[in-house]
Amino acid sequence: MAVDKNLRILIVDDYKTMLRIVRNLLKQLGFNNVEEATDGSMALQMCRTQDYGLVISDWNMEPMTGLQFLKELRADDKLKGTPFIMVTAESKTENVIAAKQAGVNNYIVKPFNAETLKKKMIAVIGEF
Amino acid sequence: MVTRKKRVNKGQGNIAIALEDTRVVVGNLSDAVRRSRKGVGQRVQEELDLLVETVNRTQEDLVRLKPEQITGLRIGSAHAELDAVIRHTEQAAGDFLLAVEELEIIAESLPKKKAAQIREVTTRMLEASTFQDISGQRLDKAKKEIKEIDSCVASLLAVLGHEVVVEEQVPDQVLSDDDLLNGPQHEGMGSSQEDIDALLASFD
Repeated sequence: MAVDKNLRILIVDDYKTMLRIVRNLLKQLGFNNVEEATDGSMALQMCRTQDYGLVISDWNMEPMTGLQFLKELRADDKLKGTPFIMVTAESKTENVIAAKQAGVNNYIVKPFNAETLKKKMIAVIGEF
Repeated sequence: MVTRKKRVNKGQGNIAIALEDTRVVVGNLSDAVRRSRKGVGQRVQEELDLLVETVNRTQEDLVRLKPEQITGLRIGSAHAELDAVIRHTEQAAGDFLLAVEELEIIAESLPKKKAAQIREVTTRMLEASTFQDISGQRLDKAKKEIKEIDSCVASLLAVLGHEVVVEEQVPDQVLSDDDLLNGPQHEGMGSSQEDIDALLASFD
């Protein structure tokens, strides 16, 4: 069954430009129900008050990084199943391993293209 | 991260004074050798003269470096320049994205084929806009490094006897994943998307 395009997606990045780019790319893929947060703590707060079908988060943010946010999500019984894609410029092997160990569903390295985003989304939430 | 002013006091291992003291001590020793055993300590005398000359040259070199000119104005200005670059690229990327969004609205009113062509172009424009994020992170990294240089210069000034005030970064809390924040890697240094995919697959 194809994914409902009305899926609520949370995008997290401290660069407003990046939020805008991802939002536009998601719009092109047909996803318009998109909300934004500018760091992990804000995103965590939003996740605690609202269900999200997918989180697409940057890593390097203050005060709470994307990795910490992911760990908090996975430690929360109600939120631990939230699909999570890390989109980051951190491309060292140890980063990928740390993210995987924290429970990331997929990992996109910046700069990325629309095709990569689409492929990773399909891998995580299914065909759309 | 909180920035606080830190006064670096002069006199902490003051090189200028130490060099002067060494010069005087070696000079005195040299005179004593010359007076006491003429001819016998010729080699020692030559070594001591050489030492005096080296100490004098080192002192002159340190003064010539004029580290006080590097700190403050120049480093502060480099920092401001980088801030301006970040601000301007953010502004430019914002304008660029606004144009992309306007094009997408126009595409909605076009026949399907034309709209798809426009969308293909706007997708490429969106992908290209990610430069702002990457360059912003690189510039932030450069700013941190400049701050460290500033701090090193301040320490050098302090040991040369200047009193300086430097800004230092005080972490609010120790982040467990701090050491993983390396920022964008240079070409060939980090993992490619393919490497990452393979690594992730190896966990399954």
